[in-house]
Amino acid sequence: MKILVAVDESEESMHALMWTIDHHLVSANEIDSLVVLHVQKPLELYAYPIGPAVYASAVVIDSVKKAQQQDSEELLIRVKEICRNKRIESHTVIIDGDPKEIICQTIDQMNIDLVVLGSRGQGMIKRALLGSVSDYCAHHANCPVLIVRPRKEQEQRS
Amino acid sequence: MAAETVMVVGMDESEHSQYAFHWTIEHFFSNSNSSSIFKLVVVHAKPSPTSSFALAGPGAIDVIPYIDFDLKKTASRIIEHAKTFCENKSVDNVHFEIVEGDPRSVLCDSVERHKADMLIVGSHGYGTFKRAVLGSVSDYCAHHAHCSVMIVKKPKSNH
Repeated sequence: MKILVAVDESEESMHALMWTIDHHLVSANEIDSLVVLHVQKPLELYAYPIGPAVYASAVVIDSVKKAQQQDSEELLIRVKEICRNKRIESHTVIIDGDPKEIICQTIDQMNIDLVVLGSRGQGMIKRALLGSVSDYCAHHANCPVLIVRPRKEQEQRS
Repeated sequence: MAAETVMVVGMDESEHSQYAFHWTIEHFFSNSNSSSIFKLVVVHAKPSPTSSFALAGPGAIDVIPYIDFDLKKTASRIIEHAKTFCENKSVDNVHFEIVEGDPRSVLCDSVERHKADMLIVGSHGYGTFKRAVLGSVSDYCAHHAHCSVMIVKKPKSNH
């Protein structure tokens, strides 16, 4: 079974990855069983306040891009380490774009059987939406969607 | 990591629910050692006889036993199908339950009672408007269950 875990900088998505492995959802014997995807959101170049200039200069764009790439690489290093400690092989992928669309596209392209997403756990507030990515994927992904609750909610029960 | 993973799967008569159940068995319980790592709890929420319609007028009370009998028959049929399917696929670490009540609270309650790690539900794939009007068990569970929730949709087309 091919499982895709989508991760971003949030602790919840790292927890979702660890939860998936700890609960035996990933088959240790199968190759290509676990794919970890990180989607890099496009930079909002006009959003950075840099003195009187309205748009970021090329230098600033470059350094922000570099910082983003570094963050992504560090994220995947963490992912690889988690997988190695749990003796699971993983295939890591970084794609640029809008997370919810890219996740759904990747599911189709890689014939994924199950996608796992973290959740910010806003379930305590009645009728609150799931995070927009999990909500979108729950409705649009062409495979089952597993939404992993954050640790403290799960611990509250026991 | 040695403890078994407890999964509760909600089940009713709908095709979507059956699909979710079959998907679960086929993907998680296909290995011979599955029974040591996964425990499955199949829960059917049987509607109470008074919940599905409004009773009015004299003599209405007499109808309830007949309705209840019919609901019980349906519930048994659903669970029997699930049992047979599990036997055919050699799944033995499985427990079956019929609980009376609203599916939303029955499923969330089952999760608590069995200390489930995961709740699995099918989904009708209704659009936003239909969901708002008809209500959605999978939506409710995704927000309120105190465990991870897996939503299994029947694919719209075969590709």
